[in-house]
Amino acid sequence: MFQKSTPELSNPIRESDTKHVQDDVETVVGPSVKVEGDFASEGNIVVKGIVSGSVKTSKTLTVEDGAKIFANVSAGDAVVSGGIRGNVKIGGRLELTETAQIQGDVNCGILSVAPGALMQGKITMKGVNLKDEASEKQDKKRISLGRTLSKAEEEENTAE
Amino acid sequence: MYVYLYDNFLRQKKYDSTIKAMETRLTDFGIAGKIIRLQNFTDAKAIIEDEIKKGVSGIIIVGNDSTFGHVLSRAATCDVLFGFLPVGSGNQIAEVLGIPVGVEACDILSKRRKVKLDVGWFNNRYFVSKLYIPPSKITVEYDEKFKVSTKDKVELVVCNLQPFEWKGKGQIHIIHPQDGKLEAFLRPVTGKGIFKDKYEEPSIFPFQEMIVSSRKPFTVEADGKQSKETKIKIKLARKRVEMVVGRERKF
Repeated sequence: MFQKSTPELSNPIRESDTKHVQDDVETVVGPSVKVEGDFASEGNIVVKGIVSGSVKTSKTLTVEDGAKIFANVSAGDAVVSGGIRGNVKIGGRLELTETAQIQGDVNCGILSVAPGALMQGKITMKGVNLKDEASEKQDKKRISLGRTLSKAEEEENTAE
Repeated sequence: MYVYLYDNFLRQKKYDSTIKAMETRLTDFGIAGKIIRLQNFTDAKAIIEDEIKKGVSGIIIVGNDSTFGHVLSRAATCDVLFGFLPVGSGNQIAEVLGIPVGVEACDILSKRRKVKLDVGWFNNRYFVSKLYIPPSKITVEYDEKFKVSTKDKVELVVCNLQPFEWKGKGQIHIIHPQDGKLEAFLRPVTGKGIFKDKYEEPSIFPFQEMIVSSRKPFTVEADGKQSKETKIKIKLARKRVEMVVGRERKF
């Protein structure tokens, strides 16, 4: 009848007032900071200001809304909400949010484009393989011709 | 044999019991030694060099972050093992080194777990914890590869061992000590408030070499010592100081 009530925590765990900045973010370019030159980092890069030159990292590049990069960009992964004027080469995933603008050629593994993002340039991605019947037949013919030619050359060589 | 460098503030009565307990513990461990009390005008480097000639095996700094910086900024070139016994408040470096504050630090010292620490270097001087430039109109060039500039004044902090925290928006920026790089934090001034300047959120740049320059002289504060410069080169000196550290160190 009288059950023991489970004691409530007198001091419930509260979310800490101080938030820790992601400690895996290594380099941050602030909103009113301008970087000129070849900018390379071994860790993550977050750009909130302006970068002129080249930007290179093997990890994640984040370009925030309002940030501008006037440079060629190379990164492992990227999340773009600002503007890039230059060629973009991303080994993994490139994500463009609705405020992103890219003026340059893009080469990436995975592409995600949100409605509203603007792009102007060539997009190259690996793994595209679309052929119609006619071109498939041509390819097969080329391959077989190549094999017969090489066989004929071998016979000639042995005869000699 | 160890030599113990006591900071002047340890003369205060409130530290008497802690110091006595530490001295007893050190005697129990068999590592008690000569005690030298530092004054404001004491040249720590000269004292340490003198003791090295006499055959000392270790120099133990007893005090807080300020004592640590004061001694090592001058004596980093000395080829001797250093130890640290943190006492009282103002001890953030001890946490990074894995050394508890108070009597328990003696246990760490007795274990002699040695590590070679990176230190910062600028204009022929070493700095161990951090270097600070108050808001000034400066240009920064990193690793001879890229330049960083701002429209107005900028505050610069270069951290080596001292954990860095810019309060205001409740953010703590975690540095990575002894990772082969120094961390530079730049905070541009965006405007003037009623009581103090308004700052923008900081930019963070890890680097190995940096040149800070300005047309007008700017103040540089490194490990408690101030100077005025127009151009400084900041570098990382790898594995410069051999130090006894604790197991719970942050690197």
